[in-house]
Amino acid sequence: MTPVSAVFKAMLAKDVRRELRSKEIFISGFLFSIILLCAIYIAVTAGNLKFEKMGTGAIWLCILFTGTVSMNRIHQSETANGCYRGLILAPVEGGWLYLSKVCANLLLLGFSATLLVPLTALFFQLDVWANLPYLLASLYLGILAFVAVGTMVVVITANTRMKDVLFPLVQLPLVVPVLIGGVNSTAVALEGKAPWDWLQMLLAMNVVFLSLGFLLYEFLLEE
Amino acid sequence: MKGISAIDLVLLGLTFIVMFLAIVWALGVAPTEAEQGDVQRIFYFHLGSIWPAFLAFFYVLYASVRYLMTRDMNWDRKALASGEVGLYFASMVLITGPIWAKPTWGVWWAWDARLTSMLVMWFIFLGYVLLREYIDEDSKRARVGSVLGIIGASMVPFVYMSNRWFETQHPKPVIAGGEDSGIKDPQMVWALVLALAAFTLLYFLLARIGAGLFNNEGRIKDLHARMHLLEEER
Amino acid sequence: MAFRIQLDNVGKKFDAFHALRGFSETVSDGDRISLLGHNGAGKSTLLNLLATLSPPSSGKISYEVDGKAVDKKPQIRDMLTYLSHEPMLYPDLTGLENLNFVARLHGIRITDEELTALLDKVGMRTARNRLFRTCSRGMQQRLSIARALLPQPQLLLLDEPFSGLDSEGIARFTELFHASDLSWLLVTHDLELAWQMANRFWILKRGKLIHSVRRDDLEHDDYLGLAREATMAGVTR
Repeated sequence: MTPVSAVFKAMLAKDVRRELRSKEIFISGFLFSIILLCAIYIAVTAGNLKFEKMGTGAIWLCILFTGTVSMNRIHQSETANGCYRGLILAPVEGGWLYLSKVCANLLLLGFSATLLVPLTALFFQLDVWANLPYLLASLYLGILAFVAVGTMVVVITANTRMKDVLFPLVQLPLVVPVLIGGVNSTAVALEGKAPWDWLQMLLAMNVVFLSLGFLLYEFLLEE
Repeated sequence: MKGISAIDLVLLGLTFIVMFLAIVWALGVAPTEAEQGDVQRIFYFHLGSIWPAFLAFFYVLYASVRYLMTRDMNWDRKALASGEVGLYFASMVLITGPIWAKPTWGVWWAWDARLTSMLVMWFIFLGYVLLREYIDEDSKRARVGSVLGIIGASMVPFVYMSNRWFETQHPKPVIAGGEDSGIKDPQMVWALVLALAAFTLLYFLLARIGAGLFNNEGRIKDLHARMHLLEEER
Repeated sequence: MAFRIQLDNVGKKFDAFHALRGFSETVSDGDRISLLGHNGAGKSTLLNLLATLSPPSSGKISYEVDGKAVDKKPQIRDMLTYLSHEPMLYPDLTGLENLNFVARLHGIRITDEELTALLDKVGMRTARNRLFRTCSRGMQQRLSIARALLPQPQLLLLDEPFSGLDSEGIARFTELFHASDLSWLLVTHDLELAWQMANRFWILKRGKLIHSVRRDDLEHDDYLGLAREATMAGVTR
């Protein structure tokens, strides 16, 4: 059996290298976010709302939508050439395979989100320095929970005939609690306060989702 | 061959009787609510459907775990039947909710924590039922569906908790007439109890019928398989 | 290291279709088995079952290494590799990077020099720094063979392993495989190749094992007769 650390290293190195070469997630995550931010600005201002108030929501809408597109894309690349079958056949426990994949996805989506923050600050006049550590904690804990669910769901829906349609339809309702936790936590952090209770909720969700994934992923490793 | 079992018949009779009584109490015996008028009577059916919806989704979790442990298709059929019936009850809640909300709150839809949560839950289980439509092979459908059933049902508490927190963090103008208001008359309590009992019985009945239906489908498939084999042997 | 796989009355059902039924056989060290049969006879199903890609619907497959039973999936997957028509290599990585990933995933410490030596062995040094997706079909297949050999399995599950290869390639790999101490289970529609590569033959017909013979007990002509009859069965069905 393969040592766990080797699995993590292999998965991270592979996914980062693939991303550097193909820039899939940069395009589907970050570039898509920019145009989404424009759309949000236009939609909000048309409703006579102050667009400055929309900053937090804009960040999370981008994470949610581009995250869904990105996760779908990541898994499609993983199934090309039957590579996913290669992962299944590796002498690795399903749980560790899952966690290594979550790590890699967090890295890729987290990077996009990191680029997104200064951009949103610019467009929506956010004061990101108000409480930067808590802001980042809110974002990354939220993305981790999103990825923890998505890494499972994308494999689940990949078994169907309508994977591209079903993935967002199944994924988005499941991450509504993550959205609520993330968006509130971010909003509080941007006011310069410490969103402890929301962070705790995000943390609790992460613990539950990651444990579920760790236990259940094995059952998805069949054909 | 199995026909309708005695349990099913008893359940069917019981459901009919209790449902009849529930309707009589809800529409007739229980007094008209002072502030809301007759509209309030829909509440008995509204609340009556919430409970079986939760019961159904909890059962999906249980049966899915059992399926993954035993790989016995019966558990998967029970899970799916329960999920489908649960989805119907959740739909009932979502339909009766706005009908009741319009005359009492003045709007069809309020982003009330309970309503929002129910809508999200409805979507989670719609995903669970839809997913199975688009998987061709039986054992794969059961395996993958069970995993989603477990994830979906485990998510429900978080949906409720987060929405509740969200609401308390963002106080809204108080809307007149909460759900608990006005249930003081003992006949109203009776109507509520009867409605709860009737819908719970209905859930059990429908879930059993559903599982039985899926079982028969499975048996037909098995028979087909055996027929193919016999043809080959000849 | 010696291994033994015992299939006990194994069946696999997809809905109403019995892809495989009542299959009882043993695979052990030194077995080089060619699996023959018409399309849909259950050959790939059998490989998938052995590779633990899907569990049997009935019956039991037990694995043994050095006389000790092995029942955890990762341990079973440690002893075998699967080589199918899908290369299982990433299009955006080079040959070397792909093999490096496979080595790490299988917990093998290996230097770039050793990997290059492996690439030489399959005649693919040119693909070392080339993106996999820019390689030709034949080159991809050679890399795929390198991928299967890399974890040093005891049993290879081969599903049309030489498709897309030129005759030089086929000759090279037939020789390479024979020179190794590997065991394998080969699925191919090339009857001549199947004869050259095997010391045992399993012939499947509509999900059932109809012949299990050793090459020593068989003349080439008899073999062709059996094999042709089995592969024809699907057509007349």
